[in-house]
Amino acid sequence: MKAGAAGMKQDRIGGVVSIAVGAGSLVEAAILYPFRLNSTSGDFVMPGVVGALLVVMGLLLVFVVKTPPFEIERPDRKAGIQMLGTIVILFAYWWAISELGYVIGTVLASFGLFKVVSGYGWIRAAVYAGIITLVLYVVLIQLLNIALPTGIFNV
Amino acid sequence: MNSLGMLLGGFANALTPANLLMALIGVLIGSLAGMIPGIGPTPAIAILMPFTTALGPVQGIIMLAGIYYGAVYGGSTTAILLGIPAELQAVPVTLDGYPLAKQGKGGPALGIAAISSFVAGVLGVLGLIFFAPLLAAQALKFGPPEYFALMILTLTVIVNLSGASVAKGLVMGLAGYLVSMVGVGPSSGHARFTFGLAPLSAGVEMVSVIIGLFAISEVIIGMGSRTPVTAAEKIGSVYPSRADLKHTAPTMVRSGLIGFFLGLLPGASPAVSAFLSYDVEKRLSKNPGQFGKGELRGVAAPEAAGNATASSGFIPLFTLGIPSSPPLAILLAGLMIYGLQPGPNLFQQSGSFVWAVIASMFIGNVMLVVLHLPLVGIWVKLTQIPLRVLKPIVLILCVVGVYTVRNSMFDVLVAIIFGVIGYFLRKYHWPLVPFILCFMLGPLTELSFVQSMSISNGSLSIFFTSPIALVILILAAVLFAVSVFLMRRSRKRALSLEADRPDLPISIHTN
Repeated sequence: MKAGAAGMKQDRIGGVVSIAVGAGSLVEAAILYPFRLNSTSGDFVMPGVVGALLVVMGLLLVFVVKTPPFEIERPDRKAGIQMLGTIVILFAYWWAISELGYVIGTVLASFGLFKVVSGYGWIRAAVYAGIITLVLYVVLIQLLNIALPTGIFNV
Repeated sequence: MNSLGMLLGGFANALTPANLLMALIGVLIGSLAGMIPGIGPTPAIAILMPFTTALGPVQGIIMLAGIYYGAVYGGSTTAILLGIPAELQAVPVTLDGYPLAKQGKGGPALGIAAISSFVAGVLGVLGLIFFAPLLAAQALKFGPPEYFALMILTLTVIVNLSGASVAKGLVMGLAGYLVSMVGVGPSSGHARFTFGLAPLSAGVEMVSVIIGLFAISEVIIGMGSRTPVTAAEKIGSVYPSRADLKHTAPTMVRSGLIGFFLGLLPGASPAVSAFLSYDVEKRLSKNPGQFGKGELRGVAAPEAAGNATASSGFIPLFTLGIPSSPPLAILLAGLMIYGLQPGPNLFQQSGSFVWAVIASMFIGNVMLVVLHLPLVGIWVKLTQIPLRVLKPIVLILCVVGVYTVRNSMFDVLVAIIFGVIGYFLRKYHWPLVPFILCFMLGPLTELSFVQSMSISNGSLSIFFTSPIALVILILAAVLFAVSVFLMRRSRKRALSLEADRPDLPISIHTN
């Protein structure tokens, strides 16, 4: 494959996604049409116009427009694991703040991130996680008086 | 009250000890975040913006202004010392700044950059004082059709913010409009695009989207790419000599004026004026061959022009609601969080608050020079902090920052999801700023359109029978064409520089 050709192929796929999203928006416009104020005004207009333009732009990207070529830099195995691990930890952090509270959630999440992202050992990651949690606790809760979730342990 | 009186009132408001402290903290934090290689000004402002909401409106916006100036200048520090321009605007600064740093003259280059930024900032404030009353006087003539035309004019900015492909930028802008429609429709009150999820009825929070797209995705994508980090050399004295100042003073004024007047045009970005002024100085120079090898004028010209455009860019931002650069787009979001709606009525409705903001920008600029020159040794060391130490901290700050805006865990979830989406968009070179711009302006665009249609009983001719709306629409078409021309020219220059100067570790973020 020529250099940059992969990027152009991805742009065509992006065009297809644009068409699909635009079609979804047109469907929403059709659902909202009965609640119109008049034929050119109401909540259906913007979804309709934006949906139609997305379909048109998508078609242009797929069939007409030649976007500038670009290289897609794929992450190596280690970086891929780091990225995936980071995303999993972020979602887990979101859950942990609600259920376990901000303090426990932040200790666990920052420990995980220092392990996965920074590649630190257990002890160093734990120390850094403790420091970060403590500093943020003092700044956010003590100084700025921000109310953060306390979770089932009320911490 | 005249604008000078209003400005003095703004200074009185901004110069209290507590507000000065906020400006100081903002400049310090902004500088630190902006100069970390791999983060850069736009994500830095995005990460720090939510925390300012814990403060009162005036203090929050003052800190935000400090963060803005600090982050933008911090980006220049990285460009000069490490040869890593975080944004397109910083590329010409790198061309001569980095060779100067390698020659042990990084200090004077940083000093000239700081002084150029200050001169440009002052020009911007003076311009606001002059132009704001003129535009504010026109404010009462703006009704829904004129506002809608203004929103169309804003679309011309997408050309400058689209990166390599205008078509992809337009798709992203449309997607931004689409996401802005999530929630309850303005005319019928019926839910749109909520898919039966109750939290979506309140719409998608702007800060969540910004943090996800600009901060979380930046950290994730940084894991897969290797940012070339070069150790900074000894930088020498940061205070430029009298000869250096004499040598660069005409350049600062010339480039500042070029940047200032370009910034008045909605659609002209700091990147355009930075490249243009660099070319102008090179043509005017008696030693054009010295440019690219370590010429102080090569630092002063793009720095002054880019910052003058960024400063005068506040005029279209405040009076028309049109941001000219990615950091200004994020700042626009910050203003909107505080209930300010940039546009023709801004000076009428929130005059004292706006003048306090303008005064605080001036103060932020002064603090920048005062702080950066004596503390440059510390800043240099900070550029050497390994990114792997900072990434976990940045991610934790993103999550907590998003939560603090509305105390909503749903917003946190939205930010993480947009972080993942942002990663793929960046990976495949889909520009993010058009998305966020249209997302921010979507509600006003729709509201002004619906109101216009109600006034005209559904006739689209209302946009062509209103003289102001018609002029704005014609201007939009002209600016669209001019922007395409200027941006293509700047991009060609950047690409040819990348090809010609493989010695420079240039990696331009077009997102």
